[in-house]
Amino acid sequence: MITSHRPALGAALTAVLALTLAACGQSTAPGSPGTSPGTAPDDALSGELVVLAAASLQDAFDELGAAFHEAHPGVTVTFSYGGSSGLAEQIVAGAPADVFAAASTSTMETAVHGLQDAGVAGADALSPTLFASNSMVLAVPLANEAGVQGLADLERDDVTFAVCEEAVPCGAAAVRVLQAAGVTAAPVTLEKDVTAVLIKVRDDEVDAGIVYVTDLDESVTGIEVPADVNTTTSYPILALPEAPHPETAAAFTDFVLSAEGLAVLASHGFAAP
Amino acid sequence: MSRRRVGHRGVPAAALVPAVLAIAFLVLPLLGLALRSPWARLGEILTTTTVRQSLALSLWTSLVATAVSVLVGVPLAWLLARGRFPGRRVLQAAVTLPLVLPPVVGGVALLGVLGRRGLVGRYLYDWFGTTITFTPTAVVLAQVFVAMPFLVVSVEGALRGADERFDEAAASLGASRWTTMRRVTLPLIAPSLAAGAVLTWARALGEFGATITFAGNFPGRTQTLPLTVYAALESDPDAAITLSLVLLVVCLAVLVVLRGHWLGQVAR
Amino acid sequence: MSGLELVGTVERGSFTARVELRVAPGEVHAVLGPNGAGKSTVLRTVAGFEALRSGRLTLAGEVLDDVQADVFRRPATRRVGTVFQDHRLFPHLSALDNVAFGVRSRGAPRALADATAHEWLERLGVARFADRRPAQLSGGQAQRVAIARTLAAEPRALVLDEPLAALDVHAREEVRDALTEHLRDFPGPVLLVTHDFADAVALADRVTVLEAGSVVQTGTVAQVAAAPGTDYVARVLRGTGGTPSSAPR
Repeated sequence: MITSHRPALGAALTAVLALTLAACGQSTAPGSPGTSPGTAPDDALSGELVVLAAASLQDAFDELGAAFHEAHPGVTVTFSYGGSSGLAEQIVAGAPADVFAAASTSTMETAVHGLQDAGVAGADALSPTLFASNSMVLAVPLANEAGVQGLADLERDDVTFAVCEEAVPCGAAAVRVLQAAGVTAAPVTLEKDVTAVLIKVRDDEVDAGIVYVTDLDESVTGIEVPADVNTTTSYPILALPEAPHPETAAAFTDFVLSAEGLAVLASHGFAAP
Repeated sequence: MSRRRVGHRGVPAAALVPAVLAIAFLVLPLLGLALRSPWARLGEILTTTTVRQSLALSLWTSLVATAVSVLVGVPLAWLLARGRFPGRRVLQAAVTLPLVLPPVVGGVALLGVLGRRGLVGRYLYDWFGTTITFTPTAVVLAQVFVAMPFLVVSVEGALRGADERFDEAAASLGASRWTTMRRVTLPLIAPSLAAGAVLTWARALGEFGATITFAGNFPGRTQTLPLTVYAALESDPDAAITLSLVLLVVCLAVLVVLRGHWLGQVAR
Repeated sequence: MSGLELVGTVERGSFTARVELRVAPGEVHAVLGPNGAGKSTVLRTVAGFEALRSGRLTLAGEVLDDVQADVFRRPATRRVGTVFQDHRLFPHLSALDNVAFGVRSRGAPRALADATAHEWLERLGVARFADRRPAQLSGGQAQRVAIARTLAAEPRALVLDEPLAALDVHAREEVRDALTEHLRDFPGPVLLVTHDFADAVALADRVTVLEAGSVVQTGTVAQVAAAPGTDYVARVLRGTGGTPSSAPR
């Protein structure tokens, strides 16, 4: 029997095409709240809120998320923490998130401009709001066997230290601090985000690390960076234009900026914006 | 003269759909990269200091890691294939563990042993004042950890399949076990050894998770090409795409070269 | 006794074979028997690829295998040359390198080994194939190279495991002639395993017949041919055309 494979091949290709088109098409997000605009009873908010936030905000935002859930039991807040620049890239690439809280105004600008360039609806009218500020501190392991006492010790040959990559706000801030203090020594590693730096210090893989003041906990010791060489970074927050849950996003952003929210942030070491 | 397609040969239609889907899944990302790559900036991207440094670092560390894997892995494979000792099965499982372990976990494990407070690392630091972390040596070690199992598995398989008849002939001629291995067994499994080494090299070249965890990330010293790609994702996404393409092309070339070997083995 | 002496049992799968074998230096001793009788096991035990189940094996007064005294010499140290049924030439080496292998394994420098190898290839009439790989040789040529390889290593004893069984008729003639010439000159004991009485007639002085794990007859070729001890022997003799008329050995 003579068989030709052409019809089978054609069917296969059609199937591939159909699947690809289906994947490319926008899918509606599940669980969008059906509240009409103008009414804002708390219990009407529901669904899963996705917040992209800088790594340094983790502890504070976890608490804020829990508080928000208590006030709005229908909402579950999910956080994705990381280096702000990486998060900004994800947003520009179309990651389905509701809120973005960055560790610097420049990474927030990257996200906003990226969305504008991509022609996202509503991107032109975006105005991020500053909600907190942070400054740097020198973290050393609890044992501090290297006897690091200040930024000057980083120049010593026998001292190793870690900072974030310059593309990440924490890294950019570290560079400014080191320059202001006249430290020319280079770090041994440039980590992805501030959490990674902290882990290296905590585990005594390096003698010191430059992290945010808010990152200090019982696992490391903090050495103050003098105010004249220290830098302050401002944290902006933004409800994203293509958020799957725009009302909940706005509510969360408002909550962060409220007195209660700012109090939580203060309790974690953040200063006023 | 037309060619008649005989009915009982060829691929059944039912297998074609998954096959085409699989091909699409594997090929489309490569195509996507190629289409999005900034070809105009190719020269500029590939010649920046960072890229040149990380390319050089990637090349020499992966080659050293391959060499180490061969030197250590062949005797290990021999032990596993021909040895008779208690715990052999456990050792076999342990050796293949890095194949299924997430590389970052491998990096964490390496820190636990060779980090400054590690099992062995602490003595290195206390007695000699040195740590291996954050050095090119750490890069090589991370690569060896994830890539050597490829070589061991390859060679062990070849040794198991190797003909012991020739070993007997060599012994009857007065050759010691070492001589037999050197002049008879190894030459006979050379193709499998070569294929294993190439695979090991490709894996070492692409290693990321263990490297970034154990060796850290510093341009020129520990930032290999995959780490540069990751860093570029934030600062220069176009460069990230170009470099990814470079790595993909290299791996593709490796697979094409080895395809003949693998298919040859299957056909035998 | 300075030849080969094996008194003991060897294990062969489901049964053990009891063997008593004495081969004087210069004597060619054939071990004859049907498939599964245990002849190859005996040969492999002498070569060192298998161990005795009980008993003792000595060569030139040296103990190679003694179960009670817990002595076992590895094949590489026994200097018992082996010719296999399937020649087992190393496929990745030329004929010359194959023949030189045993010589070099004993520490001889390359030049000397190559010269020795050439000599032996000449003696076996296969010098013109020196540079060929085994895959390029015919069955008879390969087996002659294998014989050269074994002899070049200067073994103290020789064991041949059905050396002609895998060859076609023409090659069998070729190799049998080569063996006739060289086994005669070999100073040590020679053990030839075969299922073909014609081989025994052509090459051997004495014969031991092994059947189902026991020695059923032993004697000179003429003795065994004249008075076959079992049906099997009789059958084998008939297969070779009856009593051999001329048995020069």
